[in-house]
Amino acid sequence: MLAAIKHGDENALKGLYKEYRIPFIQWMTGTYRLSEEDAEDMFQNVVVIFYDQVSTGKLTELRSSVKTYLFGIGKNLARESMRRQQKYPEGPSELLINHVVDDSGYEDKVKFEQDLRNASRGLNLMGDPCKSILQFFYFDRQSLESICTLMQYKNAETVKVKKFKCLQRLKKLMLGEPVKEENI
Amino acid sequence: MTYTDKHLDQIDAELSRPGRNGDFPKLSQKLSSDPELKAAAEDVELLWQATRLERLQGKLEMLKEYEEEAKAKAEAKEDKKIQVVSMRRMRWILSAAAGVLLLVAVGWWMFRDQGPQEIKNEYLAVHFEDYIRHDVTKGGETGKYTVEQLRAYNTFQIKNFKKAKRLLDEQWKLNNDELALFYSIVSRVSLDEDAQAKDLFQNHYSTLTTEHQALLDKLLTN
Repeated sequence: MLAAIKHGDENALKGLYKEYRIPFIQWMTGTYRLSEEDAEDMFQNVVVIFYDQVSTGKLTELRSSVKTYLFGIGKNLARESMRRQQKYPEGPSELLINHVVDDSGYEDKVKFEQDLRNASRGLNLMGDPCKSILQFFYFDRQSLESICTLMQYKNAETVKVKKFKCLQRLKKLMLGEPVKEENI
Repeated sequence: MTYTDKHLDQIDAELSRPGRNGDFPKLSQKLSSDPELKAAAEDVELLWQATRLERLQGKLEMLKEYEEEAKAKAEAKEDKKIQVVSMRRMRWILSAAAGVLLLVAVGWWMFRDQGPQEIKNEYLAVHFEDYIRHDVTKGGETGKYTVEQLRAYNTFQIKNFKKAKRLLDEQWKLNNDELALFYSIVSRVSLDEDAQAKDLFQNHYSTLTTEHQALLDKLLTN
């Protein structure tokens, strides 16, 4: 199952969600007095965090049952959520931001969270083809040659130049600087 | 802090090293001795983390859609179930209604007030008026007979022999009403129940008045 999830098998993730959804909601509503709707949102985040741990290679084997592991993530999320409740109202995506921030290992979490939000906004503002080039290369670890074929560029060197320009553009967007609409 | 494509090349080379799959390396910490390189590494890592967050949010959306679909399917199934139950209930109601109608129809048929019946005996058909022996004037209705007697007699008079037979037998049994016995025998003849009529006539012959004896004698021998 871990291998299937690591390779992006959505059905494996859905199967996991379906199997433990009801016991998790019952547990959350009973133990942490969450509403059914909040418990459902919480479980969706739990499954996504589980996916994240598997896909980033942090979780390669389970020493307990999947259920125990998922419930463990849920327990941490519930406690963290209760702790932060007074700071800001948490939506589902906020839980994921917290997860990424906590998992990043940075000491200055407040600064990193701000930078992360700026980077997310910058990526969305930038759009394609820059966004795809950067994500294919730095996240999906596609080679310049693969990206060249995939996005129909002249050669790998062209992709490399574009990649540099795109990163510079992203940097400006993150800093809130004006960006020229140039043909990349 | 500005960096060049040379710095990025260094980072790309670092990322390409074996064992760098999975968790993103903290390049900015590793390369902290070179400020430009560090700045480039920080940007690349932020890009990586922002993409990670975007992908996680995509998975979250996927699960939310899956949940909605599952709920919609469950609701559709529930609606279908309710429809089946409604159909079953409707069928049950229709069956019950049909049963009630059947019972009412049978009851009506069993206890219906029958209208005038045809007199099957030819002699009686011609001389039926001679066999009306009670006082049919208005005065006779007011005190001479009880309400039950009058009801039985009138039913006989209007030729509803089936109902009359039952009412007359009651009067005969309860009150030894001789006229009721007479009419009961005549009703049986009219209903083609001659054997019963003859039995009654023979068994209660002495109870009947002479006049009634004669009338019944004529009727039963014709």
